[in-house]
Amino acid sequence: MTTARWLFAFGLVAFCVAGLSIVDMYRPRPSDGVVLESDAPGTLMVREVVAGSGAHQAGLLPGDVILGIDRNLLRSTRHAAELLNQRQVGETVAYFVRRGDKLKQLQVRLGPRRIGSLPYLYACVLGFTFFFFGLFVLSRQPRLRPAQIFFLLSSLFLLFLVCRLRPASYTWIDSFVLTTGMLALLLLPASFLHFFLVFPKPFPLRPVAGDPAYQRKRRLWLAVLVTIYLVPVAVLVATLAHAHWRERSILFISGAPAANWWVLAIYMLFGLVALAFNARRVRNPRARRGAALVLFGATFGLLPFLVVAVAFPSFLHTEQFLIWGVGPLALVPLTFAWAIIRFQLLDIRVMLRKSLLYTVTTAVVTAVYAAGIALFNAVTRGTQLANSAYFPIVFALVIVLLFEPLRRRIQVLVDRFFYAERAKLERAIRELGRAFTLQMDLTQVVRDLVEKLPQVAGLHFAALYLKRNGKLERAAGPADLPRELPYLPELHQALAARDRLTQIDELAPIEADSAQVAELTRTLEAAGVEVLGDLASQRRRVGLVLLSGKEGQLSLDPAELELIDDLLHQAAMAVETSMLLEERTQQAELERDLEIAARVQSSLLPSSVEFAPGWQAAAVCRPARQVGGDFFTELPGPVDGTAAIVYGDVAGKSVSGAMVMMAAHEVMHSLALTHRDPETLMTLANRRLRQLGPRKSFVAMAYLACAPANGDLCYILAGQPQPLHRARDGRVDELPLPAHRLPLGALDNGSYRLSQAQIDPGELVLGYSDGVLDARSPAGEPFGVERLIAVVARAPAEPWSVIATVVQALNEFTEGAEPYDDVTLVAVCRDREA
Amino acid sequence: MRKTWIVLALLLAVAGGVMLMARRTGSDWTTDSPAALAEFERGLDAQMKYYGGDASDSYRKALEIDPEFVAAKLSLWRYERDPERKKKLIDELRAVNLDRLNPRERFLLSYALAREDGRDQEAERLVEQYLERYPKDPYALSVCSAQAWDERDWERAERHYRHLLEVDPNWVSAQNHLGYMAMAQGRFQEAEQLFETYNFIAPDQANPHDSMGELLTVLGRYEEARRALERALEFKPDFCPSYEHLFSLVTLAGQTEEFPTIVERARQHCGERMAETMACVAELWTDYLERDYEAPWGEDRDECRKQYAHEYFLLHRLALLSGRLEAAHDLEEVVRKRSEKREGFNSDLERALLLHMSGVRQLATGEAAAAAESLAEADKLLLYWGQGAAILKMFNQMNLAAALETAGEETRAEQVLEQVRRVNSDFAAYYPEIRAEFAGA
Repeated sequence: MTTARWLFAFGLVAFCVAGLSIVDMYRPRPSDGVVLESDAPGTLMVREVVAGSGAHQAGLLPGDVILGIDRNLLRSTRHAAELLNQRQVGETVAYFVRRGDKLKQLQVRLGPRRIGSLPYLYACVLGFTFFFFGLFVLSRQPRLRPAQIFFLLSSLFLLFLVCRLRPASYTWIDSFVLTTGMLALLLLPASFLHFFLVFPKPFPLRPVAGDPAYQRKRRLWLAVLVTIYLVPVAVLVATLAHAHWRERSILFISGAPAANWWVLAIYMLFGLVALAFNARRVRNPRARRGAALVLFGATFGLLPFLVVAVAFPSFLHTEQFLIWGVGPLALVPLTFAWAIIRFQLLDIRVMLRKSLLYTVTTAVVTAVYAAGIALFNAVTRGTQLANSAYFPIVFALVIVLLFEPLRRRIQVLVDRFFYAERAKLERAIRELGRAFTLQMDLTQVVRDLVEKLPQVAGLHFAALYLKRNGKLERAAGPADLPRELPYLPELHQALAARDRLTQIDELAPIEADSAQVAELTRTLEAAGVEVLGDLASQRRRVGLVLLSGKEGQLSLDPAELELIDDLLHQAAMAVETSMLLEERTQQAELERDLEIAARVQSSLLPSSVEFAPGWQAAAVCRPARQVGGDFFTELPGPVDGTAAIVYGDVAGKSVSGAMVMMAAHEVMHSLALTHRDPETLMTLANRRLRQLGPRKSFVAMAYLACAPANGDLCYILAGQPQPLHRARDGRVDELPLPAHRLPLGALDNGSYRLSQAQIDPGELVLGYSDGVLDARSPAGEPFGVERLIAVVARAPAEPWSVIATVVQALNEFTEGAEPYDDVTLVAVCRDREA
Repeated sequence: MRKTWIVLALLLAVAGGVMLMARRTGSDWTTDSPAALAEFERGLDAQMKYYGGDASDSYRKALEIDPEFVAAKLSLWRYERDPERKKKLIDELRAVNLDRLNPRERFLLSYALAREDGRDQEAERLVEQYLERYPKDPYALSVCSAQAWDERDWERAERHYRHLLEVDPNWVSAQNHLGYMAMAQGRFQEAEQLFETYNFIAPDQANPHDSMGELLTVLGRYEEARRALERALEFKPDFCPSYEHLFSLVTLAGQTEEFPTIVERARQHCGERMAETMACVAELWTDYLERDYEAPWGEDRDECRKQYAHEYFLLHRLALLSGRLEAAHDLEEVVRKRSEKREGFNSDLERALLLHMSGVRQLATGEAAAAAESLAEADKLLLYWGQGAAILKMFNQMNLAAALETAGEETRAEQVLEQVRRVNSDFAAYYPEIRAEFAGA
């Protein structure tokens, strides 16, 4: 069973006991018309005598002590009740009373019971007002801790006002109800203090998840609560024990020990101090003003009560003014009610609207009926028709039939007079929603949302944060709001789970679990934000909407929130559409740019390559995307009349890779104009690319040329795989790996050594980028060097044929899938006749 | 689940509590006969009303219906005046098997037997033990109070009676006894309130009106006293003490012409013997008030003189006023012997009476200082205990004032006289006549 259900059960019991008390007060039975002092245990002292009652006629006076009734000396109020209840209304009963130091016998005629006085009725109305406020709050927010404590507090106030402050009725119900009232007196102070320790902000002592001292604080908090609840009980026990053992009499106030009334007074004062303290901690200035108002109401409602109910009886020994202390107590539920509206714990406007509507309808119907009857009587006066019983009946039936149409018409009037603002808001929001659905421009949607919503809903401001790059960026809203907010998935999940706009206070449970959410809500609260909404379409989370409170101390009520929520859903769709359109445009522009880049890049690659006399060469570059990071080119060789072939592979793909590729291409060409020495060329290229490229951007490069001395192949590898060498007998090996082979641009001081390999006539060298080895089959298997060696081994002699064979093998291996990486192949072959 | 069990346990506890409170208690008295029980309860009611005859009749009837009804037997034994029947009853009570009685009956019987056998310490122990276990049993408290009353331990008696009233405020005999105790100590306002309370509880009984009549007579509110006493007789015309009190009232009020009427009414309801005594006393007072001091000594009054036991102080005074010093001495001797035989309160009363008679004699013989001493001593012993004792006390005080005045102690005399005036100013108005009676001595 949940806490809320237990509380509902407790409330039901409290309601029944209070109802029993009231029924007992107003049940007709033999009565003398005496109202006894309730704080004089063991003595039946007359507090007041109902005017016109038997006691009044017999001459009983306030202050008289009733010693006996009906020839019996009294032991207790119950004894008196038993004696009176044995008699009938109208009988005369002997009373034996002490007045001053004289004894008197009076004959009292018993009348019907009229104990429930007007002040008691007032206390009852007050008690039930409290109770129903609490009940409504709990039914709206059954899981919210302050709402639970508020309901407990309301039920205890009900018991206290209806059961504790009731006059004695001489029945068994007295002891039952007064005992329940006593329990209320024991629990009421503690729950009062407890409530103000968590409302409007939890006391700093209360543990918050994420706090390193959480466990210690939790234990301390529980100990404080247990102490708070046990102290009144302990005081009662101690008072009774002290009186028993020391044989001292106990000072009673309204039938309860004065010590417990003092506990009540002290707790209430502590509660007010806690409220004052917590109110200062509320960051939102408007919320702070609301809490200050509650403090004002609670202070001025409670202080007179404490003075006349506790101080007067204790020091002046009079309870005469007790009921006057109950009067200002009405300020407490009223200010609580205000706080409830203010903090959105209760939708009182719905109740107000309904009750207003039905009150007006009933009044109109009654007036119409009365007027109809009066008119009928006036018209038919003096005729036989005037005595007819049919007209009132028929007219009443007509009125009943008219009730519903009348109610509808009155509702329109009521709405027009009292809820014009609401109707206006609904209309404005509907129009705004329609405008959103037609809007394709994100800027306009954002502007409408942020500029028009505060106007139509009467808010201080609204703000929109859109999700970009893992953050929430302010798209619109007041400048004093943060420009960026962290994107917290847990917050958005919670907001999405609620599927409605959420009061910032409702995030308390998430705040307890996440320090980041707590920090964010603190920031937003300080900026005056009251409501958050997750702006999301079916496809994605668009952003976050922040709303302030309304102008003039009011909060948005749930109906308004619902309207705005609907509007935000439409806005989310509009923003989504607008964003999609923008993205599509950007995509198209990008594609066009890439196409141009691909053409430029393609134009950089030579259609054919020359190597050296007696050599044949071929090269191909296949970008994985529109633009690639691989390239090859032909440079002047170290020996006149020869060329060098370089092929590179840029770390990174697509546009960024293409940019670096072009830079590397140009660097190699420009340096080759002045530096023929391969090692110098590569070293300078390294420096240049190191300066040009961003960090982590480097180029794997290979340099192939014909050696000047013996016509063998010389090469430099800077991050590229070892080229394959196919001998005349068809054996394929990897060329030896040089000592220095860092990619260009990787380190500032890279240096490169030229390696040589003897290539006999008819033999072939195949250089390639790592895209060849990394090509993947549909099963995810890499092509690998062994497979490449096998393909090269069986390939024809000519370089072009070798490249074509490898490309075909790759195509077959990948089964035509999009390449994983750019692929570059360079093949050089020494002529046989040479 | 655990909460459900707690709720069930609480409900069970509440149901158990209700059943415990609603369970039947055992019977107050052990008898199988409802008729005997009803008769016995009528007896208790009559006893509470001080209708002794009615009470003993009811107890006897109850015993006839159920001869084994121990409580009825014990109650009847208290009222029985015939020695043989009393002995038979006590023998039967000794033979009772205590096991078949309830604790209260066991206590009442054991206590009565212990008292009867003179085992006073054991009786006290029984009281303590029983009251320790049943501190709110009104019957036990009533027995203790009555015992203290009988022993003239006023402080203890008052404590017990007050406790009894806390337990049962409607226990009328406690109101009555407390009223008399307050009256005895001169707390007349308190006594009046107690009698008023008694009167409220039992307005249809004779005794509360009678008690109030006594008090009002002492206080000199004769008309109110007469109404109260007449009311007592209205409810119970055979309530004989009220005739005696009415007699004293008309004596104090000087309405001697009413003596015959009262005597006749007493004769009608209380028997010849009481009427005869009353008639003799009426003659004595008439003689005194008419200053016919020789009349009581005539031969026609020989029979009457034997019945003046309660009026010796007056006969003694008349003897002195008629010059019969020897007769006065004889009367003093009779009282001295009587005081030696009595114990406790009665002994004090007889001693006080003796001191008063001696003092008056000394005053009559001119020994004013010695008279003042004796009378002052008598005043210390006398209490306002009922109408008779209170009248004697005030009469003694006026004689004391006369003795003091004769001895030249006017201031003290005035103080003493003032005491009388505060109680009953009408009675104090007789002082000049009383002072004059022995002024020539």
